[in-house]
Amino acid sequence: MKNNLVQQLKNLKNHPCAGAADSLWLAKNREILLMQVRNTMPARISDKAIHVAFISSKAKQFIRWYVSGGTKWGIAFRGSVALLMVILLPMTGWVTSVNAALGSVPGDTLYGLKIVSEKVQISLTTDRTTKIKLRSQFASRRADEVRKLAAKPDAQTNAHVKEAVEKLSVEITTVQRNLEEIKAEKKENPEVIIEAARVVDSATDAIAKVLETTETTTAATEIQAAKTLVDSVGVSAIRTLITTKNDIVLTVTDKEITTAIVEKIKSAETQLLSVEQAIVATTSTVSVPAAKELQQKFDAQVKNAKDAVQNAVDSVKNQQFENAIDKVKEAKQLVSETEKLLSSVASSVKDESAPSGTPRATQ
Amino acid sequence: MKPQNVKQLVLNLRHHPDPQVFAKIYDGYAPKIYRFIFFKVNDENDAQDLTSEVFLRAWSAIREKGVEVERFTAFLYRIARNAVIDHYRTRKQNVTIENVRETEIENFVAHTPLESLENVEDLALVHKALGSLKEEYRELVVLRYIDELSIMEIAQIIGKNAIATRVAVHRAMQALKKILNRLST
Repeated sequence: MKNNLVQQLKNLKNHPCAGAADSLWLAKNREILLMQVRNTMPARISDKAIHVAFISSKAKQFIRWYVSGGTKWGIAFRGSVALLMVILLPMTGWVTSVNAALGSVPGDTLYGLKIVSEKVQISLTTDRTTKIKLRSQFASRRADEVRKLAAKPDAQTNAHVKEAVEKLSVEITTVQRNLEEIKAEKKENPEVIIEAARVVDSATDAIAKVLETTETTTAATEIQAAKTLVDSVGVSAIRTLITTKNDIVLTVTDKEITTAIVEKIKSAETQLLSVEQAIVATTSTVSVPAAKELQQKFDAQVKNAKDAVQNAVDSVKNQQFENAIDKVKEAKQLVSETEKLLSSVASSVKDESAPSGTPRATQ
Repeated sequence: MKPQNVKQLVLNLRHHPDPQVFAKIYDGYAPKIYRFIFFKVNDENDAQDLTSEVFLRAWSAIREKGVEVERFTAFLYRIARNAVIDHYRTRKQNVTIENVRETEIENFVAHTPLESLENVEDLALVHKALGSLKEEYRELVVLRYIDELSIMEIAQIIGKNAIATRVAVHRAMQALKKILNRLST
């Protein structure tokens, strides 16, 4: 009997109700984990940097040999050797400095070096899919920088937060543009398109989570705009999966698309819940007549967003994926508009309650 | 994942932290860690979040402190246990899969792949019995018979010696059989 029981227990291993992990989640989580792990690593030493370091060390030996001996050749070459040193020697510090720069944020001394090293990596990459992976990784770094900076609010940091947000927006916009370019160029190779779309989907999910957990009282508008942009790029990546899947019946399964859309629906529901809580908090700070009017306006927005989410859920159940992703996009847009409205109401309430004689807050 | 492969990967990781190597370790352990956590929290989303957290913590620990190659499995499972404890502390709840409702057996059957439908009711009963075990016993049964860890590995995870662990596993199985008999009648 024990053997039978042991066998039964082993048979439970692959049952979904007994903790068998969904293979799609495992794969997606792997990509997100790799991205997070890479963010903690020193910048990859490019072949060019190694080559420069090698040349520089050889140059030093050369200089010692010619100059120290006091030969006629040493004297003759002194001028050009000095010029070579000026160009090459600073580059020996490149690799060490880039490693040190990895944890820097806007405002730190080495931040410029961090950005330059990223640009070097992009310029040395010819494959478009690899570029998308790199840019997604860099966008993820920008999101981490935003979160780190937002945690220490002061006048100077606020400017840096905005700088990081702007860089994130530029990076993610470029990712989307690269994805569109791949779609246009690689029609005969849909696997490449699908791989790129998956990378973008994973990256935008991870970045959205970071931004959602970033708490800040300033630069909120900019961060909100970045969140909207990231969501939109993520939705666009899923749409790419759907349209590419419709062109070929191969590796993109209905289950993968369903899982990806369900993730977006869950994200929209979470945002909706936050918005509802924020509405209650905001309307309690205004006068009763104004609160009533605001409440009606917000209720209408929230209802439309909820309807859109429900539509998305129903569409997924019926495997109408294009409609589902459209509804998710609609829901997120409605939530975003409601958040902007809430933000402006909160600002005007703050202004009205500021003591007279104190300067009004400007945006 | 074969022990020799794990040792080699962990050795490589210790001397040269490489995300790709870490990814291989993830591939080998993620399903087990997920299942281990799932049996404790009984929620897919929580289990997914905690699994991610376990691997991130493991990565940090490897980079900062290094880890004994021989005890890597125990190291990972201990992180998982601690992550679940922290999760309970945060959520202030202690959800277990005891008292599985009758309808969940229907759910179990509904999720069973077609090719495994033979004896599915026996399987569902075993699953329900497992849920009714006290947590300490359930953990032992999962580690020994589902994750198929050795007694030594389990001992390292739970912090007991091998003999005490073997006795505890035996007791857990006895308890499971008792519950199964009760459910079958």
